[in-house]
Amino acid sequence: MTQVTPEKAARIVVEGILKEGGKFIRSGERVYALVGGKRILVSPSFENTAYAAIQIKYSGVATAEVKGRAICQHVAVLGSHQAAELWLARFSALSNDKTRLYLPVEGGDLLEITANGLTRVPNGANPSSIWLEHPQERPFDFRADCDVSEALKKFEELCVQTQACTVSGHRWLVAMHEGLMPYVRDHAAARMLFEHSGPSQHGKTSGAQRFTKLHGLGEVLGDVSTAYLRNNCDGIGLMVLDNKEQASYGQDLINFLLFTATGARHGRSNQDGSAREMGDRPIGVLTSIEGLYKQELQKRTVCIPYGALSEKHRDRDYIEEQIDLHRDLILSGICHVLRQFLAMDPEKVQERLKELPKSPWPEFQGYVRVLARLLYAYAIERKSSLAWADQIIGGWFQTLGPASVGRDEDVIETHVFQALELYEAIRTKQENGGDLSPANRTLFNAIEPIEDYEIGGKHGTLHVTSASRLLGAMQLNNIGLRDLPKNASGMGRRLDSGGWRELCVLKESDDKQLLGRTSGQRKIGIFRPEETSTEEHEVHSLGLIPSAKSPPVGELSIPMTG
Amino acid sequence: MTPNDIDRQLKLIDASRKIATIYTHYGQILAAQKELSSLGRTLQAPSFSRRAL
Repeated sequence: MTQVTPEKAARIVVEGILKEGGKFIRSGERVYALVGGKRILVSPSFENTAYAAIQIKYSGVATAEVKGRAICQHVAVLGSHQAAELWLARFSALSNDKTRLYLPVEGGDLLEITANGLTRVPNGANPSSIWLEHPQERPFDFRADCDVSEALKKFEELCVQTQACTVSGHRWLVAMHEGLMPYVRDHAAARMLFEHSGPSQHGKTSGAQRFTKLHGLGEVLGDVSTAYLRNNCDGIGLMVLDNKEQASYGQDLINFLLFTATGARHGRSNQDGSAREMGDRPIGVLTSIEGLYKQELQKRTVCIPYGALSEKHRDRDYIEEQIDLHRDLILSGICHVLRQFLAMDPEKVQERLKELPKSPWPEFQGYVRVLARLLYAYAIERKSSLAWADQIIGGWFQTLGPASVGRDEDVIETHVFQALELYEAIRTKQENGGDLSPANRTLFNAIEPIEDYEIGGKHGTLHVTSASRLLGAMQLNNIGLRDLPKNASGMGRRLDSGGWRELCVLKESDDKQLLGRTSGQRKIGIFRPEETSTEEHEVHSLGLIPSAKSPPVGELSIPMTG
Repeated sequence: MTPNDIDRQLKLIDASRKIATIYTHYGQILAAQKELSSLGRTLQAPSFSRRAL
């Protein structure tokens, strides 16, 4: 074999690939061989062992040899002559006319979803000429015979009901945005970012990670640079950035997030001057204690308050294990919802939305329509009435509009809330024989708790302190250092300004006995109400979830198929 | 060690975990590490179970 010319050897390699049932495709300047469901770049790079293995198999010459590089170049030229132009995509792809949706499935094939049904088609050889891959090489195993009701029940049990949203109807918004929207993301050009917001250890990250696990994407993204996001989030479907606090937002990250929300071409140059563009935008989710501060980002972000983490959903590892275990079943069921989604007439969805309260996001009408259409499709597959979905969507519009406004003012409340959480932990530590650090002790001494305090019909704990002691203790413990006022009078004014969502600041006039001035110290009380929201309480008081019994199948849905 | 001691240890672990998480959120990795190492020392100290509350 080593006696033949590079050109002849290359022909032998190409014939071998074709005989194996492989073929060549071209994407931009690059030529790939498609062999055994894998896309292999035809390149002599030393790290490209997949191609090297093929060349060695058919020609006996490694790509590291001089002759081997020549053979590789001939293979690339020969391959490009017969290569088909395929559209390379990852995670999921939608045909240009938006009637066919493709998902990669176990075994190297694609699942083609249309309004009429679900069909397995070979990767690359489909009417839309799409070559699709799962970004982490973890496609799900599609179960054609799955029980859709059972699959959706599992989805709700593991991914929806476990969301620690303070308003239960928001769980469905999160589920549609993070669970289903990534598959049909190309249906909306202007996309909203979602922010899971709330104190630490209240289920923000674990809530988002349930969906990254479900999609086979692994864990949420922690400490990653914007350059990493630009290079690696092209085609991941869902991008969750964890712990993005105000200090994290450089102009580069803000620009990147705006790109994921609004689109437009996004390009950078390689060192050699060639262009490198992101062809796809993932659905974006951020988790944060402090919230966003840039107005241009705020306008494109829906802030979902988290904090009602129930005891039975605290075991994050168990829930994630269960999601891994039932992933194939759940995603197989979701495929039926996506089929229903494609079958729906968007005009009819729009008509229904007109009957609901006004959407607080007028510039994202298209996106809201897709989210609503997903929930309507879901309602039909779970055999609930469309009125069930109407109620939930109406709840989003009523509860989320005002909450996203005026976030700048809430930052200090969040930091004070964190200081109180830290205080409670320090108190527990002290009561159980733990040693306190000097910073811990300062915070411990700065606050005097009054349990079972009642104000305005609410029960809770009043934390008696003073602006200067609280500020000093927070500074010493590095809580919200960037946002805190620089002196006690500034802190006092911030506390006096009031209007907080959860905490309530009391002055001497509110309780002369407890907050009366002593030795020149002006006391303040920070009232923290008891956590009241149990699941049942929320469900009935907000009316966002229907009664346990779903309506009988006969009463279902007005058909919305187009 | 009595069941009460174990209960106290669990409460301490919970409290330290919370403290370390809050510190981590505010970028104080060193303070979080210190908190966890101090917890380790406390739990291993022979005097812990006898310490007066």
